[in-house]
Amino acid sequence: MTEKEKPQWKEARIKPFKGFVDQLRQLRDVISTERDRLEKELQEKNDKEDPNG
Amino acid sequence: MAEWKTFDLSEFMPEQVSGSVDKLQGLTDIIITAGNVANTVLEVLRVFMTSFPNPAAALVQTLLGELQTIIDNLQETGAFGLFMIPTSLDDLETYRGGYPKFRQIFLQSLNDVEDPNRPQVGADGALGAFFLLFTSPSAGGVIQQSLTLKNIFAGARNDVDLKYPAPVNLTIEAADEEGRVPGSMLNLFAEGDDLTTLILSWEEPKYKQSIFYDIFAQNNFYIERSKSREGVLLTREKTRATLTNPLQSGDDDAAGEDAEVIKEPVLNRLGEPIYTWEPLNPDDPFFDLENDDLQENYLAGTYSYTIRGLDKGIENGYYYRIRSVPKDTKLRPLQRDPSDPDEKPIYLLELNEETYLDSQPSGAVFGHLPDIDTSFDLPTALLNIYRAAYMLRFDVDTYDDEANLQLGSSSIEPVLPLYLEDDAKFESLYGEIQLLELQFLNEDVVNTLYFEGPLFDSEEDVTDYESARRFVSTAGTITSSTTLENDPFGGTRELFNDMFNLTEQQRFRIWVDKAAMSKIESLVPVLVQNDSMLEIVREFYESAQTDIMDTILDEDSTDRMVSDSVRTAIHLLIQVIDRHDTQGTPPNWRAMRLFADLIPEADQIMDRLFGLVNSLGSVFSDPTSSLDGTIEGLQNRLAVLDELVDFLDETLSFFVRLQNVPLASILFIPPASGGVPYLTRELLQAENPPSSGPGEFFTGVVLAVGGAGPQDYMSTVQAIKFIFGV
Repeated sequence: MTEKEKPQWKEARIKPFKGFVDQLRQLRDVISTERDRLEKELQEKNDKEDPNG
Repeated sequence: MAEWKTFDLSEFMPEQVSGSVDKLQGLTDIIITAGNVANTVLEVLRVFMTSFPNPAAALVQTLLGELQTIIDNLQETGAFGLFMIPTSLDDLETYRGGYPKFRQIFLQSLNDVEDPNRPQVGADGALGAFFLLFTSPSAGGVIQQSLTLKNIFAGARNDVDLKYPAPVNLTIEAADEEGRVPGSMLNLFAEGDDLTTLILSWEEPKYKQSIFYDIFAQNNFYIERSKSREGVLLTREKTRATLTNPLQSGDDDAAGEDAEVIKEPVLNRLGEPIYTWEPLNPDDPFFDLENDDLQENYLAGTYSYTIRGLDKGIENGYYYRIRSVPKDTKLRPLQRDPSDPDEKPIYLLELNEETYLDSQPSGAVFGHLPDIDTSFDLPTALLNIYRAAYMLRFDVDTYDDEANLQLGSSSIEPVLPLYLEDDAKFESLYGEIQLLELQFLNEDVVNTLYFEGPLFDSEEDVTDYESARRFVSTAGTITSSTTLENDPFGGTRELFNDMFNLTEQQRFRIWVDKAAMSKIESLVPVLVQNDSMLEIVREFYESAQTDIMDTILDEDSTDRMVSDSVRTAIHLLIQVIDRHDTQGTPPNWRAMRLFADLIPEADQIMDRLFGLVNSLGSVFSDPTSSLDGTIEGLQNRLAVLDELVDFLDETLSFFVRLQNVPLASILFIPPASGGVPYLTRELLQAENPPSSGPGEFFTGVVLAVGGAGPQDYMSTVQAIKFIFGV
């Protein structure tokens, strides 16, 4: 083993479950988008049924 | 010694993850156990997602699939884990010695033949490891790091019973504005100090070899108080349906009123009732060594804090207790009923936005500012009462031949020293007052003596408490000690008599005052805490003052001894005050330790989950109404989605909190052939190890992975990288 290949300690701030959190956040955003879309649809339906609001 | 463990990596994960895609699953299991819901939330979620009428559904399905794959992979991967975390405060010393000690413990564990779970990979196999190491020069720091690791790794949770220690030997005393404790309540009457503060004092517990680790110096302190010794039990209202007696007719109009509203205790996540304490100062609840009101003694590990801004009177007293908490701890007020503006909030300690439970509270002590009227010189009044009582020989019970009590109150101790018997100034009481019948009790008629003549020559000479105390203590210094003074062979008495030429009157006064003072020192703190008692003593004293002074000053001893009115007045007073001499000093200033703490959060999460599951259930129980495009259907789905987003936000914030990990030293040795010898060599050769001195503490985790070839460990390596985000 050459000098360069020796394992190195390093200082770091670990981010446990970073990938998982990223995935979960994506899921949340998709559902959130769907919720917003549904909200808009509901608003439109309400406006149609009661145009005078 | 740390031990190796084998497990699948999902055990490493917080319970909220290991259950399923997120804590939905894990918590739902609990609900299922309760028999309330048949489907897991995850399943409901999947069904719900298939009904999305747009491309989002496909995306969600993909994401859910990916999350599920991650979980499945984690559950299949295996590793050798070594938690090098102090499991208790007693264990701290093992983890002291910096990086060299860490390496030593690791290598010992790696080659510990008595540990069957260690990685036993020979030179033909491959072995690598991931090292996560924290070092700290202070015990307080390493406890915080260890708690972080315990928080992250479910696998360490059962083993590590590490908490910040509770302060011990908590005491509380009233003091003046400068924080000076009067030492004795008696000083209040002498110096007229105004007691406006309470001094709370405590110590850091000591560990190995009676040393303490200076843990508190790293942290903040948090003082809380309560009107009750246990704190206030947190309850909630619950409606309990009463079972209807089947024999009764079903036409009961008030069937719905059978439901009974009861109060039940809120339990924390350990299933214990929660007792709430209020912070001493909600606006600025934490303080450290920089605080002007905190005094510390580094050498002794003791601290004291001056509590200000208090109202006087025992009715304004509280039980106080204190904790040592990490610097980042916060206090969160919680309004249980937002519609009630008058409701006092309860307070939660939080660390990294999570309820914090890892600092033990001290025992509780009761403290208040006494409300004392020093215009009545209580110590001097008591001294004069005792002087009169001794002049009347209340310390000796004497009976007539009918066995009726003639003299004495059975209450004043100690008896006169024997050497006074020989003094000519002391005369036979019985001879003077013609009670010779008493001889039958003791044939020696001179066994009870009384002092002839006045104790003081004039009223102006009668010393007050402070002067008498100075006189007695000076005399005490001269005679060195009570023991010596009472020792007829010690020679002190002779020295005392010859050198200072004190008269019998002076000697007797010293003796009486000294005996009385030891009683008064314990009496005054009791009396000043009891307003009505104080008033009684004052009234009695003022009404009997003439008799008392007569007894002290009267030249005619015989008259004094036989006067019924004088005896009665003084006897009454002695009965009143002496009765309180033997009961100690209430209230008790020490209390039992309590473990209960505030965790209503777990409860609330469960409530919310029930709500979420129920709303999902109602949406799917009637597909025609919920999944169609009617306004009601849309509203239902919108409500469910809102819940889902909120819940995911909560789950996310949980994981984000986990990511709040202090700066660590990490080392990854990729698995390669060579087995244990390879791993040992690699660690020994690793460069840039954490620079830590021999006195430093450390805590850490090692995950070793290996096998016959890459197929055995590649997924585990991936999982480790995933878990640690490296």
